[in-house]
Amino acid sequence: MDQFFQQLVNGLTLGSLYALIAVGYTVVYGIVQLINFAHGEVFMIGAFGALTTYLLFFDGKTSVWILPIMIVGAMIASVGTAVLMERVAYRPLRNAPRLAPLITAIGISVFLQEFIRLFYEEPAWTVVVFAGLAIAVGYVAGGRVAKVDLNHPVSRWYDRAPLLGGAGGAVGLWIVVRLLNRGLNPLLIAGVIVLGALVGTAIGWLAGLAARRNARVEVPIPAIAAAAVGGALVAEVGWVLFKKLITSVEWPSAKLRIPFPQLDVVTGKALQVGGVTIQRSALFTVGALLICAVLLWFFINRTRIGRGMQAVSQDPDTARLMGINVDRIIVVAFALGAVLAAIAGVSQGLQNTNIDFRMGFLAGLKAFTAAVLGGIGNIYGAVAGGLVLGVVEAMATQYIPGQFGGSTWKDVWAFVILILVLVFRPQGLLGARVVDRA
Amino acid sequence: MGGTVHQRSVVRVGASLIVASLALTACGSRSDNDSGGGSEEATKTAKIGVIAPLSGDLSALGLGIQHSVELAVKQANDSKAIPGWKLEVVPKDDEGKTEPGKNAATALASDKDVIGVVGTLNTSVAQQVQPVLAPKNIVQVSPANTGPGLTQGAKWQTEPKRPYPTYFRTCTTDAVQGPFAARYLYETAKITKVATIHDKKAYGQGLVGTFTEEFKKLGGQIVSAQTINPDESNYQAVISAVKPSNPQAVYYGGEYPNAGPLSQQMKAAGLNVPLMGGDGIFDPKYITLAGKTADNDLATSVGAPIDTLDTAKKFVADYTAEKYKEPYAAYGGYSYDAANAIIAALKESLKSATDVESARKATVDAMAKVSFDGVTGKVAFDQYGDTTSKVLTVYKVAGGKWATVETKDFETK
Repeated sequence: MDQFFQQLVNGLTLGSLYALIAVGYTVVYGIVQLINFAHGEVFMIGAFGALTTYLLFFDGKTSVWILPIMIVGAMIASVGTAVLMERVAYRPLRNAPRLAPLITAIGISVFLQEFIRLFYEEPAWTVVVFAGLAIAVGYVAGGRVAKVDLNHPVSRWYDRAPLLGGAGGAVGLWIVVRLLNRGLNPLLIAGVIVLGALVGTAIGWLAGLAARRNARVEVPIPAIAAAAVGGALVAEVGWVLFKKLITSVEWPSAKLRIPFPQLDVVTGKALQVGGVTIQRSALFTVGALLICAVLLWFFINRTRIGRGMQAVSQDPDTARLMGINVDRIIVVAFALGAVLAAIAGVSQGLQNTNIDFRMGFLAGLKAFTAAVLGGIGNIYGAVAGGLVLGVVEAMATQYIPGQFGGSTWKDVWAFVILILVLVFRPQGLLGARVVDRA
Repeated sequence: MGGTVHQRSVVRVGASLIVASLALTACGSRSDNDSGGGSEEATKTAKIGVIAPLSGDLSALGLGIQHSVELAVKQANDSKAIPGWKLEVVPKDDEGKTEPGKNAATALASDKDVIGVVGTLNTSVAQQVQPVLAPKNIVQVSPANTGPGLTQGAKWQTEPKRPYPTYFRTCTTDAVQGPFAARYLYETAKITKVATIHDKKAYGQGLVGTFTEEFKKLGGQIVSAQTINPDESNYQAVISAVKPSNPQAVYYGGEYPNAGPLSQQMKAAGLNVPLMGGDGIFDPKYITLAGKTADNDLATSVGAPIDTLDTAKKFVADYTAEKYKEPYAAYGGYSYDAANAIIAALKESLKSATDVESARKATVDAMAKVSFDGVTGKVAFDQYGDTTSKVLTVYKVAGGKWATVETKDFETK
């Protein structure tokens, strides 16, 4: 009997992890009818975000109060990735045939895996990210000053040329100076920022001149200058961060499995309840799922945005007519899924004591299965589906005898269950009636 | 109209000038490095290939192999060991997988200057590499393959038959390593109940197979036999299945990327018995992954511990002096010996050769007669291409480091 309860505990732990990830699939599907196959990578990036936070600020320490900060770091990484992903890869394809976003999703998934592998290996390349960030900030700053809506349907891509040219020119000059001389003194740094702003403005002005004949929106010089200054400033801040923080850490190679930090209270000696062993990290995972489920219920049913999500999931067009900002709701859906995935990433790290850049793939697939099992689009279904899947896996390992038993076949049984459910109850366990979708 | 066009072309020229000048300055800062490098003497070149995992989970071992071969070749070149010839190392990455390994072997086999290959790390990769190199008579010496079938054929237990005359190895095999571990556990550590787990790869399965056979023969009991999936990192289910059988130790067939987390999770789940494995887990990374609870875990590895042997001290000193980025790892000594075995054979075969291709057959023949004192002991090969030395060592984790427990010559009973 002990054995049964042991596997039940293992199954519920594993299931909680699946459930946390599955919510991300289901929320996004409920709102945009898109299966975000890159969600497993959001989970993986969460784990790496937590590890990065740990390495940057707390390397070698083991007190438990680090955990919340690691979770925050994980959330920042995950939510950033998810929101950026939505903006870059999914929003432009919102009205494309359904196959297109599906293919992008798979592409994004592979991209993120390789991105993490390469950047963890070569932290020096984060400079490239900072450069891109600097250009983006400069562009946004310039847009604010100019008070033009560059996303307006009337504007064209070349209307953005002056701003992009301004910010890009400033950052470009900055990079050239840094390549020639890495350690500038503070006075020269100020000089380079001013010079960068001037050169950037000039380039932006030239770019504006080139585009002027066809431009629909006039971008004034002060806006270009703001873009250039913004770009150069952020480039410098990024460089300082890189010098002070990122180069101060010995980064483990992402090609290998990376040991995850072991903290005092959450890891350590397992608890014995009768004949059943319960690991502390398992308690953390299950507890996280409980808290998240309660907060999620509150968010969906008791807040304005939550109700907006319900409205959009029922009928996006009518919701838009009622004054709901559908774009914002979609971003919130992606962010919500990412928050839970980040927590799942941390729990996986604590449980398995190691993470690697491929961990998102199988976990994502399992979580997707859980979401479908529970009825895709239904949040409570995702939680139930995750738990069922976890328990089925654990029990199959224990109780299916002979050659088909053992952990070798557990994935097979998990997916057999999925197929049976889809054949006999296609809407999933908690059948997704449209009204329930959120 | 004309004015606008003119103005725009000026802008274009200006913009492209700026871009070009930026590009030139960016490049200019890097172009100073090419000035070195004098002209080489006009000697003939023979290449020694290395096929090992230079990236991926097992790269720590693979890079150690590569650098050790580089060291041997550098020393041979410096001392002009083969008059009139210059040796060159061609490293190829197999990622520890069969397909890239086969590609690497094909690339080396099509190079007419390649005379020998050191590699591979994995037995499963060697199975793909052997048939590619053998028809071209390129000699292959592995520092790390422990699968017995590579030298003695698939039916090595009953009727051993050498499949490829070009294949040699400087390490002992699982046919010895598994039983060696079984004897240590049963005879020295007095453990009678053991659970086995392996990762279903050729190496792990072979190791557990030979271990089980010997352990039962000695009178021990295998209380549970499980497998894991090497792509996974959560082993709770397997551990829960093993735990009720109350083993006194767990014997694991596989490599450290899985073994480390397995050991950690075993102990976290309350299964406080030592995990024992073969040379695949004998690596510092194992302890990093297994964490603080790894103490008392055991591993066997081929040969005597490298830093205790007098013959090895010079190798370690030379390796350190070269300042390679990665340590020589578990197979450095064997790789160095493997490269030196090839070089020793080349001294015979290249003496009067005009080109590499015609000397290949002679090299394979010369390999069989090679005999010298290497880093890891006597280097010589039997009629199957296996090393004649059968020394193995048991290591134990103590205080976050691998410590030697006992070194023994394995005797067939």
